Amino acid sequence: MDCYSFSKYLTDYLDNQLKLPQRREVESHMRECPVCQGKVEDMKNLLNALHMLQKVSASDSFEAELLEKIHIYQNNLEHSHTFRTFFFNHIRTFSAVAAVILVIVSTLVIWQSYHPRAGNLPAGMNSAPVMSSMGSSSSSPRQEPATNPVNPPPKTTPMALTDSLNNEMVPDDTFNLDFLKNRIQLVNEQR
Amino acid sequence: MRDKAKYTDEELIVLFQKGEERAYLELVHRYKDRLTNFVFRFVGSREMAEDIVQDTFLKLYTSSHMYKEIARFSTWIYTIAGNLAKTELRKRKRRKIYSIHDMGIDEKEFEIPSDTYNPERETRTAYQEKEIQTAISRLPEQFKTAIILRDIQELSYEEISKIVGVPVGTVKSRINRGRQKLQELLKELKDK
Repeated sequence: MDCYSFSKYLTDYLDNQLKLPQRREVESHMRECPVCQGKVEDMKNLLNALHMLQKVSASDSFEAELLEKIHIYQNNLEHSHTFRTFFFNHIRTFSAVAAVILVIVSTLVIWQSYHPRAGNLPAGMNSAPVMSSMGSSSSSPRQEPATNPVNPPPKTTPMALTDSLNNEMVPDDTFNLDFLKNRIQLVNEQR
Repeated sequence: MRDKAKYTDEELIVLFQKGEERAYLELVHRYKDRLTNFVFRFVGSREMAEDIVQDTFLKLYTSSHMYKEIARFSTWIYTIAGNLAKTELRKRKRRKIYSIHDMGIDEKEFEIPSDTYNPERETRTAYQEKEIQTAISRLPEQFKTAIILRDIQELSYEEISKIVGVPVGTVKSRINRGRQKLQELLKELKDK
């Protein structure tokens, strides 16, 4: 047996896994080769040290902590089960609410697609307040129309424009659509 | 349930699968120390080791149905503990909370359980416990597993083969190379 073959048998030799003829061969090589004999001694020292390592045991509170973990796990499981039960018991209600929300959102989207300008108007200029103020018989005093080509009106904030528009001189009982369109166009140009 | 000691591990797990909670507690009692020692040698921290072993038993509690009678219970539970220990070590390395490789050899500190510390035993062996733990922690993962299971837990080649899921020949080769590598590391530590 040479040193290379010996190194292959080393683990089995140390673990008593070799059959008698192989074991004799290994021991015979060890007697002839002090290097390999030294390797065996070193390895035996290492294995001895590993076997002598003190055994680490679980602490006294180990089982109590484990039972606590199991308890927490069971509680979480129960909560998730309760939630699931609640959800499945009220699934019809949740579906109905979801459907209503879907209808409202869809209606808004469709409405906006038919009234793209309304979506772009400033908050205060949305159709509802403007239309109501124009269509109603409000008691606001009549003023001169702001359409003055020589002296254009000063630049104002959208809110101010809205207010000025709300206070425009428009006959109470006649709703002039062309006038409104002109005003909106003018506001957009000023912007 | 008759005298608990008369039951094998496999019988106990089957009883637990049928709802017998005392069988579970008996399994915990039988394996808590063995697994704590195994995981401690793997991760180098007693607190972390206990945490991992508790998670192993929690997994046993929640997934006992996964156990099939064809396997030995010991190999099954060692596999779970080993996998959890490896996962925890990788997680910690990724998060840089606990990184052995980022530190120099002198900086590496491992817990040495002091409750049963025996200086006499240290003088009877060629190496200090702390040096061995440091060297083990520096072994590649597959060698580390093989060495701990064989030379510290004293399991058979066949059991190790089932736990790590490789043939017996591969286990022998890993043990052989692991021991040689461990010797080199210990020599390096002694020379420093």
